[in-house]
Amino acid sequence: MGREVSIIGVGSTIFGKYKDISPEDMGRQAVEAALEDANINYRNIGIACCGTVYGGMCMAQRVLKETGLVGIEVINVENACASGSSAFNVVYRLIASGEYDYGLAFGVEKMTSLAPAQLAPPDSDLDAKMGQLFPAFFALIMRRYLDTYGITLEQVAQVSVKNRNYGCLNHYAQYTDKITVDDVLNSRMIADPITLLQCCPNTDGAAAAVLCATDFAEEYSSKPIQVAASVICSGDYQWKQRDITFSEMTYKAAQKAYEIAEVGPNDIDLCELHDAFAVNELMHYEELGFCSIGEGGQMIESGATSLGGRIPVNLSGGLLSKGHPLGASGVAQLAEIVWQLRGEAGERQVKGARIGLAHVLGGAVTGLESGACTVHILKKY
Amino acid sequence: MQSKIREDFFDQNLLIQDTEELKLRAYKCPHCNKVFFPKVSKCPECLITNLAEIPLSDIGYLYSYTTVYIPSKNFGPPYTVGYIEFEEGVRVFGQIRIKEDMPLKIGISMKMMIDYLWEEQSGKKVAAYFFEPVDK
Repeated sequence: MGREVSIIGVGSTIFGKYKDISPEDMGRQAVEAALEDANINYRNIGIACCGTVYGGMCMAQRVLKETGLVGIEVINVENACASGSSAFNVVYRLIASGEYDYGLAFGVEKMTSLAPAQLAPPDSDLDAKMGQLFPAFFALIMRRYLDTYGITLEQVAQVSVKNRNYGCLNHYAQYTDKITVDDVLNSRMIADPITLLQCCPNTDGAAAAVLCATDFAEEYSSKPIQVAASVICSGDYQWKQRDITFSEMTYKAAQKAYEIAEVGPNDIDLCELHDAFAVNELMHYEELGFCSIGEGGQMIESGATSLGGRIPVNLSGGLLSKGHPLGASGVAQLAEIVWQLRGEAGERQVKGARIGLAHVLGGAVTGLESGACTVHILKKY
Repeated sequence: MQSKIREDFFDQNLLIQDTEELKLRAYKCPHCNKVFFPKVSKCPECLITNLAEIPLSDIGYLYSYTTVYIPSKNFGPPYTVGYIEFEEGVRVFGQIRIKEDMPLKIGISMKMMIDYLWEEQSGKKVAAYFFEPVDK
């Protein structure tokens, strides 16, 4: 795997809907916050990589030109919702391989002005022509999941309630008001049985992370966090996934990450996972190995994934409450885990947290399970 | 009846004439016998290119469904879509036309039909496939 790599700084904008701020300015705010957090001279950065889906041409360069980070190696990455975490993976690998000692990974998305109102696969996609939208795609999965395992609507709604509760404790989250199970179930129907409050919102935001070869980490940070595994997996043919209630690519990516990091699901102290829709969180408990297949509903009900439980999930508020600026979300998850492992997460702090896992799943392509999945495992030294 | 509107079908490559009827055009690998829809240029398992064109059964079963209350490119809300699973081992996403006396339920039989489903910006009507519940 090459050299060990650490995160020495992270930064984020406050997620929300912003009319008057450009994606370039949001990106710059997050990048400057991460550089300041790392206490590093920007001239040391050799490689920068930006994840964005709707940002357009050369987003990274547009963001970086006013930070002094020009004339260096810069790459833009698009991998649907996993764009930011994929950008992180690129920087991680270029440092692990020895090509660079210091790098910057960030993600930017201005959903309110650059993204379409309804997220769908590209117009050329067959299923998109036939009416496929992301909420519809996950509603089909949800109906099958409820039908197969007897999961209740109330159990699904509890995910939204839990993640809102924690969003209230996160300065960076878009939504900071509490909701009830009844609020979730009585909110407007989007794609039966998915209601509005089971969907993540459209969000503007940016997040950034500074990585460096661990050999140099202590020069900058008293609390460097080790990148113990960084895995990307693309979707296999859908016909191989005979059961749509189980994301094979999440399972595969997680297994590989556990192997690389030499840990198992029981070692994970906290998790940020891809709750684009509330039902996804329950399914991902199962695929990540936190509980057995079909037991996601019981797991949320038991409190095991709440603060103080066996494995707290989405204490940042998750995509449901923090918001989902596609390109930024994967990096924002990693920032949350870094804050948690440093013991800087305030009221939502997991006591004694040493190992965190971040998971992203995104993109729809006719015939494939999904576009891309990333799993990262971070460790405190 | 269905062949009359075939010229207006949104993608001719998706259809095949099966005796009197139009069916969805699937592709079968001569080596592993796996069937694909829509077209694949080679079998993703065996990488063989000379796949046989075969008609997909016109009746499958309802794997999952949802009624959507937000607009998509070609459909205004509400509209119902689902996955139909065919005995050939293929699962197809498409529009569902509801019949009042046959409520949707996972596992019921669904028949492939063709009709005008949306309009282009020019106002031209476009025909495509959809599914409706049918007595087995």
